Amino acid sequence: MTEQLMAAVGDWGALALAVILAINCVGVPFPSSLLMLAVGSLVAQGEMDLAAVLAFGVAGAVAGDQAGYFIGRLGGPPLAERLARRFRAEATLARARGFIDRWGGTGVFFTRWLLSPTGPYVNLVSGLAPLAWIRFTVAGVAGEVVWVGLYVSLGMLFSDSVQNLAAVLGNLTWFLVGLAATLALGYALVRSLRHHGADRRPGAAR
Amino acid sequence: MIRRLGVLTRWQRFLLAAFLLVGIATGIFGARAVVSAIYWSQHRDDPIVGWMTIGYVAHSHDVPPQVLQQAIGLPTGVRDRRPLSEIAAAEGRSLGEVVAMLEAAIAAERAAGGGGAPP
Repeated sequence: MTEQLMAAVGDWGALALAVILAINCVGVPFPSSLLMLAVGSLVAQGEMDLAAVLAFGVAGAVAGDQAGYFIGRLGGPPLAERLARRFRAEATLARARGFIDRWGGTGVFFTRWLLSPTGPYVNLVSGLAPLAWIRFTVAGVAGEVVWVGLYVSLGMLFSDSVQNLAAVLGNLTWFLVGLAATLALGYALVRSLRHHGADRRPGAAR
Repeated sequence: MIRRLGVLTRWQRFLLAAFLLVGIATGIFGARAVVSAIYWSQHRDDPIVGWMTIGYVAHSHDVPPQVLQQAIGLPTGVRDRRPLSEIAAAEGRSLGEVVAMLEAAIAAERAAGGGGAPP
């Protein structure tokens, strides 16, 4: 997969990077971290222009985020309400919406670059909730600037070992995603034990 | 232990199982991050793989690109932006063959004293 993406960047330059990052941000799992590191290496060797790479990269990623947000926004809220009614989970939906309203901006920012594999889902949920468009966009643009800027800079800095660097960063990113998920599950479990108790209704389903 | 699990609700048992599974996966990724960092510190050269261009391999291994182009029978002096996998396909060779030829050329260049530090 990286071969074809690199060939596209070789042929079409920064424009290809924009298209690839846009598709990636809608949810197609391209190896975009390795690609951005490799592009950073090309910049360091004087084969690509840094300003063009950053501008096209951020523009592409933001376009992909917006597409995901509007897919969630257009199709989402009625569907979410129907599902909530069907499973009698209106209170859960309201709680989730309050949570997203409060933490959405922060979440969108950090899921752009630190927890990037979760980004596409956060786009959909942000549209579904919905998180106010302006907050989603401001946090999203800031996060994508960090994402593209960070990976391209690292590629420039370690321009002779991007394959090794990509392996380290890939594992580190999934470790952080896993850590966040583990903490969230642990928190939910402790909360459930406190609120419902483990002893009162033995074996009862929720 | 099993009997105590029985007092949990179905939802709590699901949360506990997910917590343990995701926790184990997280530990594996943490360990892999450490292993890949140690590997990198001991192998400064990137392994040669299909997405790399001749220019990248030359830069990464600190040898002149012409040496690598010669080694796989490509014209020297022109910038070739194709990935190695594409070059291999165009030359009717497997990627493994091309990688082996490049590695041999890098080793020879270094033995001749023209290249950078060995791995």
